Amino acid sequence: MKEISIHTLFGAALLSGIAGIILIGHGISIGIVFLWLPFLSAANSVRGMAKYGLGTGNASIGYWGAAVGATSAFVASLSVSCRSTPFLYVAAVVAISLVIGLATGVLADKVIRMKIPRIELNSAVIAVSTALITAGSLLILGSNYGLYPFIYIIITLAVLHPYNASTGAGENQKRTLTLALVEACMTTLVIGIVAMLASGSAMPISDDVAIVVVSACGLVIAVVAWYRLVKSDTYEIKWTGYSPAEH
Amino acid sequence: MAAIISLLLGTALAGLLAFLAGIFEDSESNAGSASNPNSQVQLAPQIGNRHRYFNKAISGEPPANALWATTAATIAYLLTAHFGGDAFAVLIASIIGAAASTLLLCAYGVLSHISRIASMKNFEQTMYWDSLLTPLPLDAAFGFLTALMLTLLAFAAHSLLGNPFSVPLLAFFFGITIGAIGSSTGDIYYGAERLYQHYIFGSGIPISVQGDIDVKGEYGYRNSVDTPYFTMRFGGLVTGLAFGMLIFLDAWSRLFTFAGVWTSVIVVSVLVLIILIFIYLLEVYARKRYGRYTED
Amino acid sequence: MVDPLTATIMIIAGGVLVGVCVHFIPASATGAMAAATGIATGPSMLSAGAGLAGIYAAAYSIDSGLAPVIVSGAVGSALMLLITILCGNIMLAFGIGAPPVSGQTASGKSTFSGTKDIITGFEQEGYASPGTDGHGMPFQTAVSGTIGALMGGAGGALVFYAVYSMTLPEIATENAVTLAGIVAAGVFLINSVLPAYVLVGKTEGVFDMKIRSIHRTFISCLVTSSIVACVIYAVCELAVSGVMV
Repeated sequence: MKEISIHTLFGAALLSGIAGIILIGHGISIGIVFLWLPFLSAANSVRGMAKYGLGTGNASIGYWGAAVGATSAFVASLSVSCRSTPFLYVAAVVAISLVIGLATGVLADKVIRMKIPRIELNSAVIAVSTALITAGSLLILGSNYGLYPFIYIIITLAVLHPYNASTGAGENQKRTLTLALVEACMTTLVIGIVAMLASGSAMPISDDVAIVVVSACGLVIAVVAWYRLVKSDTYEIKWTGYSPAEH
Repeated sequence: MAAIISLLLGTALAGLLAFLAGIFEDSESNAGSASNPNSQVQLAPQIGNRHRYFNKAISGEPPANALWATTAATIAYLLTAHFGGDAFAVLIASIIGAAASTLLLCAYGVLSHISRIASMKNFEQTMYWDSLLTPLPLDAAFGFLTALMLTLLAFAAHSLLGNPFSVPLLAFFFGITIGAIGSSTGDIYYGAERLYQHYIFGSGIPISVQGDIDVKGEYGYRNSVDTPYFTMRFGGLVTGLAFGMLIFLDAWSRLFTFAGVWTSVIVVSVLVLIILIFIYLLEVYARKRYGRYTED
Repeated sequence: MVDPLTATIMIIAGGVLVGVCVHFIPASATGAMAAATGIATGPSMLSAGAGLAGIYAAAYSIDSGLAPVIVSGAVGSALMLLITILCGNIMLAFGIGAPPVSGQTASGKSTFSGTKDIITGFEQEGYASPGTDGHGMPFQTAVSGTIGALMGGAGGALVFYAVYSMTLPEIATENAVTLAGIVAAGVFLINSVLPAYVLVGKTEGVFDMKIRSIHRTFISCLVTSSIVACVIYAVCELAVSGVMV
């Protein structure tokens, strides 16, 4: 089966992420669906790096990438207002995270001499994708500093988990990315619920409800698609029993 | 006077909550075979040991626990703004927050288990629904208690002990730290003893036999519900001791005032030296007790 | 409070300390099966746990000035790491039934020649279970880990205090503390993963030959934290001078 290349997925994720943030910035909260692609692209790059069994678990890659992305977005929000000029904010966030992600990847390749193909590209993709997601979440939740750790950690898990969950000899890109979509929907659902609770949230409550509804619909569709793939991939699904070899 | 009482109360409460959180965290990770010993459960089908363990590969323990604790604490922190800030409101808000984060845990746990088994097709590992659904409520219960304890601990550290960080950030820090402690103390008991009970006591697990885990239990096939029953008697308690001691000693060192701002630093430095002495004594004892490995 | 330029240098120094500290902390993922010497978890995860415990301890003395913040961060980390080592060894001695032993030293491959513990002089050869690369944390690795944790905690606290000083002129105190905490955690997580590439998931601290590639970690972390520090400096300067775009 032909795999989607990093470049294609990342190009799509970048455009869709920027579109999503600009839509959210103009008060159209449904634009959050465009943030699902960056989740996929980041999960795909975690897969690209962790596949080679480097010296660190894919949990570390995930939280490293999300740390670059989230830190860029948090720092940028100090001086560039994300509400009044969303486009400038996105440009700043993408530029900062791209520089840090690319620099780290090049260092890991040239100085530390990891023998992983395209490590610099994958590092940059994880950093920029998570930065886009963080920026979108900040727009929805408003700049309440108490919520920053939550935004960081929930994105981290959604990015690192799809490949970590699917690891094994029978892993394939299609199922991993579908799982990434499931988790992207789950994450935006939780972000929507938290936005409803944050009374000082940047958006009116009806917009938060819209996010929850759209995410829930996406979640149902994604879970059905994912379970279909699981059924065709699993050796056998039973309610209960013992392994045949020993009985 | 009120400040001193709040500090004393906070120290006692924080130590107790941290101790309980440690026990629950270790049991949660063992009920789902999470963290490092997960590699053994993952390896087992490849060498022909088809098992009925709950393979909850969410991530390393630190990020996973940080997520449960931070989600619970964030929701509780937002709810207390609606409920008002008294102790009862904090308790109710923490319970609601912990329940919400438990739902997230269940979702991630189910997705991980099914995906991991699906990737085991080449090794003929069957996906048994009951080996997922039986341990899941147990795992969720321990996850709920961990998140609740850490959220209450974050509130105690913020309002009674006076830590300037916001409640969700404290919960995030506690989550990462408890994950690091839990995966480095409690997991040894699960990974080197419980999974390999058919090897003789008193030795590490050679790399050549890794993956040859116990698939049969006290009676019938072993499932993950049996695991916390075993590990809680020793592994869980030591994990609780480690995290409880860390939080308690850290808070306790701030009760004194004999050297101004440097008091706690001096107290903790003395404690560090005492612990180093204990490590030395324990090593002397263990070497004398077990001795060299001999050919037999 | 420190001026912004000093704060930038503090962030760079903190980032480098955080990266280098991972080399000193004994950690190994296969330690969970008592199959290798070191604390039973990934090096970067463990360093993150110890470092964040240090930042938590440092936050209590944020009003007392720079020196108390750094020192409390350092000892807070050391306390966390030593408690973990003590409890890990308790687990090994009473749960598994094996003495702590250094695998690299036992096989004569440690940085210092010989098969004895450098500090206590205990013979290591013959104490490791057959087929494993040692287990637990013998005294020499505990000391190495203490040094590493002191460095990591101090590094984390440096970044924390620097970011706090840079953002304080502009946002309320409690917000500045929280923002500084999350940015310090972010810098910690970014820098603690880079050495994990060098260590390939396992190290015994100073007594492991991998300590010789510490210069690679140093250079990588220096460059990465310089970029991060410059970005934070530029953004804070823009914000303080009132350029709110």
